[in-house]
Amino acid sequence: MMKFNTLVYHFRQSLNGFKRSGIMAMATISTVAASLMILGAFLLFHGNLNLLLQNLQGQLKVNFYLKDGASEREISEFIQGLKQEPVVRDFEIISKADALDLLRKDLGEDSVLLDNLSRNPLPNTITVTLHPTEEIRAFREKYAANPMIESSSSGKDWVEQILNLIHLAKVSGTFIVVFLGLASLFIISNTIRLTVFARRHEIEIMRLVGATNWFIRSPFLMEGVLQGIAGALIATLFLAFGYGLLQDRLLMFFPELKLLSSQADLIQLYLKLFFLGIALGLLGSLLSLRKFLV
Amino acid sequence: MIQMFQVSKVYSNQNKALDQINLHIDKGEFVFLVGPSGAGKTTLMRLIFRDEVPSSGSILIDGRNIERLSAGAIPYLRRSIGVVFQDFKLLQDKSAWENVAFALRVVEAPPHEIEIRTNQALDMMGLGHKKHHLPSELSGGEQQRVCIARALVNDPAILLTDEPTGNLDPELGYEIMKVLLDINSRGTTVLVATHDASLVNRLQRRVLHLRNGKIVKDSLRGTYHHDEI
Repeated sequence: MMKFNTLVYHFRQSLNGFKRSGIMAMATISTVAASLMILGAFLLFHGNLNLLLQNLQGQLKVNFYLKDGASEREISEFIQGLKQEPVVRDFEIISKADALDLLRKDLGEDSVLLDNLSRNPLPNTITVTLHPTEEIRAFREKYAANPMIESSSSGKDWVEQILNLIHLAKVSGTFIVVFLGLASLFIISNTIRLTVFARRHEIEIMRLVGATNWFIRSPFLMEGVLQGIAGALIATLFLAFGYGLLQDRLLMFFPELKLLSSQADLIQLYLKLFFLGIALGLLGSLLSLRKFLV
Repeated sequence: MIQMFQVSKVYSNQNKALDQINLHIDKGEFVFLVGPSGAGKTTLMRLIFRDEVPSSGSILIDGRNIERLSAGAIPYLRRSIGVVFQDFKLLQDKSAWENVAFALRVVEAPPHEIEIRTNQALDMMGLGHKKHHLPSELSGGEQQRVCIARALVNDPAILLTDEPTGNLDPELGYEIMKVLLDINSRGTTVLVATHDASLVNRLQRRVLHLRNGKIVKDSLRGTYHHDEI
C-alpha cells in the first residue's frame, strides 16, 4: 500500500504533468467531455422514452392471430410460454366465434353484412397485455415467429413508434458511444504518452534508484484519471444546464409531458458519467503505460 | 558481497563486452576497476545493479542470485546499491536538494526523514550551501558530488561509481576520492571504475585490470599504468 505522502507527491507530479502537456491536456479533456456529454444526452433521451412507456400502463397490448390449423397442443404450449414471460401482465384468448360476435356488436345495424358469410373469416386471437418495458419489441418478435401464428399487431401505432425510437436510440447510441469512447481512450493514452516521453529521464533515474513499477506508474495514472474527471465534470455541467433549459421549453409547449426530472435519477446518471470518466482516464493511461513502462 | 562466476556478456550486435569473468569482492572492500575504454568496466557495473543481465554465468549479490530475480524484486536490489553515473543523470529542472531527496521519495521514506537525510548527505559532500541550485548552476565537480550524495542517501551496502573523476581536474578528483574512501571506511563496499592512473597509484588499493572483457590482473595493493599489459 502506498503511503499518503507518496500519494500527495504523485498528485503534485501529475498536476505538473497536466500543466506541461497544456494544449494536449485541454484537447483530451474536451474529447472526454464531448463523449460523455453525448452519452449523457442519449441516456437522458432513452430514460425519457422509457418514462413515456411507463405511463402507458395497461394500454400496451399485442394481438397474436392464430392460423386456422393450429392444434390444441400448439396453443397450450404457446400459452405456457406466455405465462413464464415476465413482461406479460395478462392475456386473453378470443375464439373465432367470440371475435365474430364482437365484430357484430361493433357494427351494430350494419352487422347484416356479416350474414352472408359462408364461413367465419376471423382468426382465433390471443391478446396479451404487457408491462411497460422496452422488452416488448423483443417479446413480440419472439412469439410472432411461432409457426402457428399468422400475424401480430400492437394495439396502437404510436406505441410501435416509441418502441422503434427506443430501439434506434439504443443501437445508434451504443454505436456512437463506443466510437467516442475509443476516441477518448486513444487521445488520453496519447497525452499520457507525451508526458511519459517528457519525463523519460526522470523515469530512468527512478528505475536506477529502485522505484517500483507502481511508483513510476502512479503519477501517470493519476494524470489520466484527472483528465477523465475534468472531462466528466464539464460534461455534467453542460448536460445539467442544457437539460434544464430543454425541460423548461418542452413543458412550456407540452405542459402534460412527463419528463425525467427526479433529482435521484439525474444524480445517478451524472454519477455514471463521472465514473465512466474515471474509467476512461485510467484505462487510457494504462494503455500507454503498458507500451512504455513494462 | 559481489560474486561472479563465468560471467559473459554479449550484446545484440555480437560485441562481446565481458568474457568469462570470475570475481569475488568482500564486504567493505574498496576496489578500482581499470582498463582502457571499451574494456568492459561499465558493463560489469551495470550487471551488478541488474541494468543488464549476463548472457551466461551467474552473479551473486549478498548471496542472492540476481539474474533470477523477479521484475518486482529488482527495485529492492537497486535500493541496496548506490550508483554514480559517468554522465551524472541529474534531473535538470530540479534543485540539488530535490535530486538527492528523489532517491528517498522513491523508496517512500517519511518526509521528516527525507529532510534530515538529504541535508546530511549534501553537507557531507560540502554542498549544504548550494542545495537550492539547479544542476546547470553547479560546476562539474559539484554535480558529481550531488550524484554521490544521491547514491549515498539510501545508505547502500554497495556503491558503484563510473569514472567519478573523469570530468574533474586532478585536485578535485582527489577530493572526490577521499570522500569515497571515507564512505568505504564506514563499511560500504565501493567499486570505482576509472582510467585515472595517478589516483589509483596514489591510493594503493585493490585493482582489477580489465582488457577486452577479461580480468587480466587482480592485485591487492595495485598500481596502474596506461602502457601496462
